[in-house]
Amino acid sequence: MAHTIGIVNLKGGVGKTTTAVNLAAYLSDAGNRTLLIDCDPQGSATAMIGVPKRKPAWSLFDALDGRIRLKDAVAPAWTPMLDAIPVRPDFNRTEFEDAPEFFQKHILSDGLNEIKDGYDYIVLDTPPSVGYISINALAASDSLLIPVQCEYLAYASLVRLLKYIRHMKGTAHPGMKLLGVLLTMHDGLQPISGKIIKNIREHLKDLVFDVIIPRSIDLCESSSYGIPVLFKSPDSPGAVSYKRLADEVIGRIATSRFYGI
Amino acid sequence: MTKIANPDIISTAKQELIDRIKQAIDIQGVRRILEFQHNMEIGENIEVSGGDVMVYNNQLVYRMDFEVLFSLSVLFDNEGNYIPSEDTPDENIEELGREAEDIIQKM
Ligand SMILES: Nc1ncnc2c1ncn2[C@@H]1O[C@H](COP(=O)(O)OP(=O)(O)OP(=O)(O)O)[C@@H](O)[C@H]1O
Ligand SMILES: [Mg+2]
Repeated sequence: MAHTIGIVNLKGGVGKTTTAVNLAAYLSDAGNRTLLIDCDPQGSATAMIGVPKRKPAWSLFDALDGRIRLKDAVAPAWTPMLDAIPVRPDFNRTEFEDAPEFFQKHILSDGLNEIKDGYDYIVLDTPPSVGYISINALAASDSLLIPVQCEYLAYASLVRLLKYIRHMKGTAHPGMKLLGVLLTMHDGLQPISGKIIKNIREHLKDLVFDVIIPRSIDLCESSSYGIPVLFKSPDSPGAVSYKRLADEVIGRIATSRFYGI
Repeated sequence: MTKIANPDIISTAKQELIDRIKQAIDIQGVRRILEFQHNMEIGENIEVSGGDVMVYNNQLVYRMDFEVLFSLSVLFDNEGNYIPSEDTPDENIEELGREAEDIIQKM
């Protein structure tokens, strides 16, 4: 049965989508049946998963509001081992985002229970906000992977996120576990990057993944091409680092190395 | 091999073409692209250093090389010890670290 990894951070632009898409690509490349779900109405992951450009037949929203079963929203993505549930920007349904916290927060996890058997890993790309969809994504995740830029403000918002997760764990989702913190967009030329890395490792220890994602033009470019970096420049430093992340993720899940339990 | 054209003339023509293209380049536009690509400020100190005609994605393209002049500095004290440049105060970072660790431990 699949392990569901929620890629979360309330801060925007920290590399959630880049991580979700490339992690899913490398998990599937390693021979695992993988499902990537775009839970962000911006649809950035949808633009990178190889679901035909024409309007996808179904969107995650159609499943969340009960029009179809979640499994009917699954579409084939880049490779036979990789499926995806796309999202279509739907501004008529923004009222969803404002729905009270207690309202139907388990729709996604209930839907996933029906399809989990068909996969080894499910990866959720989530929006940079607290709302109906992100609460559903948190509730559906077996563990959380938190990308954090090697910057001061990003570190500060990691602390806020951890408080939020602690709150959710206390109220809505007691079983919530942390898979790890991933340092992203590392720029060796910025002294602050090095300081943050040193400090975060000192305090969060093994929670931090060994691999650090460098700031890399190839990652930026592959998203503009709408493909995972694996299919564009597999030897680039950005690609190699996401491959290493996939290996670490597989290792942690196989040995149940989680935090916050 | 049978020569059917004068190589000197071909080579000169190619060089002339490159030189003409050099003059047609919007150097400020190039500067902006390079600044974005490399995530750094280049300023006015940019010069064309060479160029070539090549095939890329099945079409004939021109490659132009640029040289950029940088002035960089480092600080060191009388003992010759390197002084890292001022950025975020260490105690601010440390405070975040302690707070994060505390949350994780209590979770
Ligand atoms: N390691 C990297 N090196 C260079 N560019 C990167 C890297 N990671 C992400 N980017 C670029 O940074 C931008 C933001 O990344 P991304 O979309 O993954 O962040 P996000 O957290 O999903 O943002 P949002 O909160 O808006 O959903 C994108 O243009 C992406 O291509
Ligand atoms: Mg995103």
